[in-house]
Amino acid sequence: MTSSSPASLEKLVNSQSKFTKRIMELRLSGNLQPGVVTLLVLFFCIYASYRSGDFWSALNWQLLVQPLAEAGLVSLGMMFVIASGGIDLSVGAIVGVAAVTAGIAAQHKLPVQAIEAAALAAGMLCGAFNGLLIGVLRLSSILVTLGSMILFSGVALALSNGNSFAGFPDGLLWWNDAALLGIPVEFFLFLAIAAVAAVLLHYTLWGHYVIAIGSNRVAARYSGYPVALTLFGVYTLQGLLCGTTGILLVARLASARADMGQGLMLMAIAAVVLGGAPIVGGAASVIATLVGVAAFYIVQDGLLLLDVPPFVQYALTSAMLLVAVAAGNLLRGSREDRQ
Amino acid sequence: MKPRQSSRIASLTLAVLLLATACSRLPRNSKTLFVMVPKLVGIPYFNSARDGASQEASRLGLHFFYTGPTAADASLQVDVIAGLLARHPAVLAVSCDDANALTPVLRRARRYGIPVLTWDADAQPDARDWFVSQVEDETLGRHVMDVLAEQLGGRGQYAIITGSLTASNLNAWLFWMKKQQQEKYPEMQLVAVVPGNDDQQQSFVQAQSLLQAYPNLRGFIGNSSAAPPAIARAIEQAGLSGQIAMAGLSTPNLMRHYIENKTVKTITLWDPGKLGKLTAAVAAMMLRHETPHDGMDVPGVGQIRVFPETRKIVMGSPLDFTRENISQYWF
Amino acid sequence: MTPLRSSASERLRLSIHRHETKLASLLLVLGIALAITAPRFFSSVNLALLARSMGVLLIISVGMLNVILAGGIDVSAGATLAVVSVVLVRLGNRGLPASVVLPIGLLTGATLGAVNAALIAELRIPPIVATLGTAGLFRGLLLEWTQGEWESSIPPWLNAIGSPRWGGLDASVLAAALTVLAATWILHRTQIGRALFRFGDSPIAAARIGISPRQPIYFAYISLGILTAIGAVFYAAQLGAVQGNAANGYELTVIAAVVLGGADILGGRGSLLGTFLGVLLLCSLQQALVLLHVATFWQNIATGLIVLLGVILSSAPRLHRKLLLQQSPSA
Repeated sequence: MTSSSPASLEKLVNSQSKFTKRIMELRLSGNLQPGVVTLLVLFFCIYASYRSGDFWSALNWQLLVQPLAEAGLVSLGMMFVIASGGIDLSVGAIVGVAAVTAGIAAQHKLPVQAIEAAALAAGMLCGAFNGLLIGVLRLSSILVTLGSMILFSGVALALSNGNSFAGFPDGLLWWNDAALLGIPVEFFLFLAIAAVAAVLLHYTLWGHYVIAIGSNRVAARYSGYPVALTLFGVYTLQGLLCGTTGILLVARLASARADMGQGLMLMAIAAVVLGGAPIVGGAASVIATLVGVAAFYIVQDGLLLLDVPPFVQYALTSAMLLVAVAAGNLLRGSREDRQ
Repeated sequence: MKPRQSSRIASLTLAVLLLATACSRLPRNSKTLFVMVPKLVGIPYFNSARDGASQEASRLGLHFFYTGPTAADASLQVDVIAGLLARHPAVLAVSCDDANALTPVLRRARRYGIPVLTWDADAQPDARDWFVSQVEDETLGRHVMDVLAEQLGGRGQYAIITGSLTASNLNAWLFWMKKQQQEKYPEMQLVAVVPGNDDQQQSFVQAQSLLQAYPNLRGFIGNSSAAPPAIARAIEQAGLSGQIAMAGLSTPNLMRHYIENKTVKTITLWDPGKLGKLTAAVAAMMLRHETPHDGMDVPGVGQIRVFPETRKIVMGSPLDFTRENISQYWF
Repeated sequence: MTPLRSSASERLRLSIHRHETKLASLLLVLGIALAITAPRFFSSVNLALLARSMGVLLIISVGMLNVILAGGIDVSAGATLAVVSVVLVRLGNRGLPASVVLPIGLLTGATLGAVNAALIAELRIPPIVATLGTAGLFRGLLLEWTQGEWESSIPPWLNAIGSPRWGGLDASVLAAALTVLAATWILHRTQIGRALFRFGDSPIAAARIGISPRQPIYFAYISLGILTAIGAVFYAAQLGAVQGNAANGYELTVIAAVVLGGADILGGRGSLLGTFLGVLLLCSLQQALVLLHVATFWQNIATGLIVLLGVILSSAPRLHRKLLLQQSPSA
């Protein structure tokens, strides 16, 4: 379900090298997994709505899209990271840092814009830190983000002293309370950012570089692509998106804590993979990522309404991930591991 | 078997399974649906509360549903409650992971006309109709400190291992413990407050390290049900049973071994099963539009205290478990 | 400088040597700093405690080293640890003897490892995704089985295993030493060990010399499963209790230890000495921070910085080779 137009890309990328052509081929190679997942989720929705009368109520979906939007933003960032051939374990911790920064700003009675800017800046700083180590120093992304995850969570704890912040101005809480036609604004924001991400991915040179690097980093460097700068941008963007999620979480929970966003890391990786993106990088699609995120939240919510005990929910969503990826592999046919 | 074939068979099987189970609809009994949400599912303390509530709920004719987050994470808990709102429960009872974080979603529940109770751990007062608490925070905090101070003779270094650093009720009890020590036992010295995060292994490691880091340490307080057994184990394994004093909050079952072998003299708690019963009883009262009053007697629980100004219900006093009485309790 | 045309094993040996010396010198620096600021670190009591705290981590890290050498990763180790601990303690508490319970525990660990291996080798699911899924699956099913009930007592024979004797040490230290010796022999002197290195270095090259992916993958993950099971024995024995959500996130500590020890995350490079030093560094760091009375928040920051430092150190040889390989350093 990739949506790209070869013509526009050709306009941007002047080089006619075989390498470039191969990249485009890979992206259009037909990822069936989002289709499979959508079908499964549709089945599930029909089943759930029959067994539980509350599943299709407006209230259910209104409440569902808020955490979905938050996780979705982080997943979009993760999509870029994975597409570039890396992985980011520190996203949950970055959200925590951003949230705590917002809390401190609120404590100092700063205006709403300043609070939001502070959170975004904190997220970007953390992302830039990762970007420096991974892009410029070319260290392994899984290891760097493992270390930075511990580091950032320590920073968030230290900044907050283990307490939770409250007393946020209404201007900030607006993000949670406002709704257009009954749909929370968080969701619209998420859709808008997803659209921007799609443009970045398919219509900019930077997006092209990201895919190329994930596909074959050495070849990308030999083609003269700015690898270090691109990767730096990927992780900084991830940091920015985490900062946004931090703001939305703070608005929804009307408080800020260091451990906010703990579960988001696994959710984001799972969502991107569920959408069919290869974990080794080289391909990405915003729609596929959206399908992945939506699948998780819809299924989780449905299981809750179906009275499934919480631990079984957890086991079932993990099983769903395994089944979907295995099915995707089978449908795609064999593809060599690129490592 | 080709991939197409196997995927066809798989989808067929799935379809058959779904059709089979879809033949029954879940009961929609929202008029008597009493939903109880703990801080997290999967620890004995909350299991006891659940059992008590479940018994009392069925006795009172309520349909009981218990669910919660799989970790003591406020945002997870908010997600769970948001999902539950779509079921329009008749009454919602929540033990809050974080007083501030839970407030928006509970306020929303009240806006939808769902009566909200908090139990065990409170939210902001305007987010709930009543708070069913087990013991007054001040009473509990001061009492636990007294238990420790008595063993230490009112002087010496002590450390506290708590649960999660952001848990509001734990922090409230910590506050009163420290206040009691500062006011009554000025010769005692608090050297560290560390989180055990409701994990016995972490609490164990912390206790061991603290024993090494502070050679003059003479006492511990375990401020959450996971910490005391781990601290006791650390004391026992270091061969210091009887030389290091301990006080704290935990269940008799978890501490039985250490109380019986005299590593620990006293452990404090209340009966979480009774707390569950009381929560269910108050929920039923709300459905009948009755208001609890001070000094009323609740079957299976006893006399309760009610504070209409803060809309708080207090179950009773802390309960101490010692060698003499621990055989009477099994939870 | 190192000529690029040298044989694979020679390059391997040289780069390993370089990393371990760096790590050892880091430890030396840490040791000297501690000798000055907190000399109690080197008391026999504390060193024994350190050794005991390293036992479980070292055993499981050896298994994780196998997996990482094969170019994979496993984030379900914590869940496996919890499952096996619960199985061991529950069966033991029912009265079954050690001779029955221990093999069952090992078998459970091996089976869970085999599940991972099958998902990766047969269904071609990437290791991080497969183990992410199995972590949730194992943990969810375990918690559903235990319903959140903790086991607060362990059978006497298990307790005896975990009790300190021989001057503060316990059986876990012995087991860890044996594990490292056995692993050294297997990795360097048997065909399967060498296959592991070759496969991790380059699966394609390994296939060309006749090593099918199945052998190293199954060996790596099943060995991790078995070693995690052995670790679970000592984990439960030391703690004296088990809870269903035990060891949450433990696998990240294990991975950090192995990586600090110089193993290349892409596979094919690593050593047992390095893993041992990595475990030593992490455990002594944790102890040192508490001994130095560092506040809990700062402990995380310090640990994170050390891990990053270790990553930078371990990647240095690869970076160096990259710099030598490429022609335009600005890219």
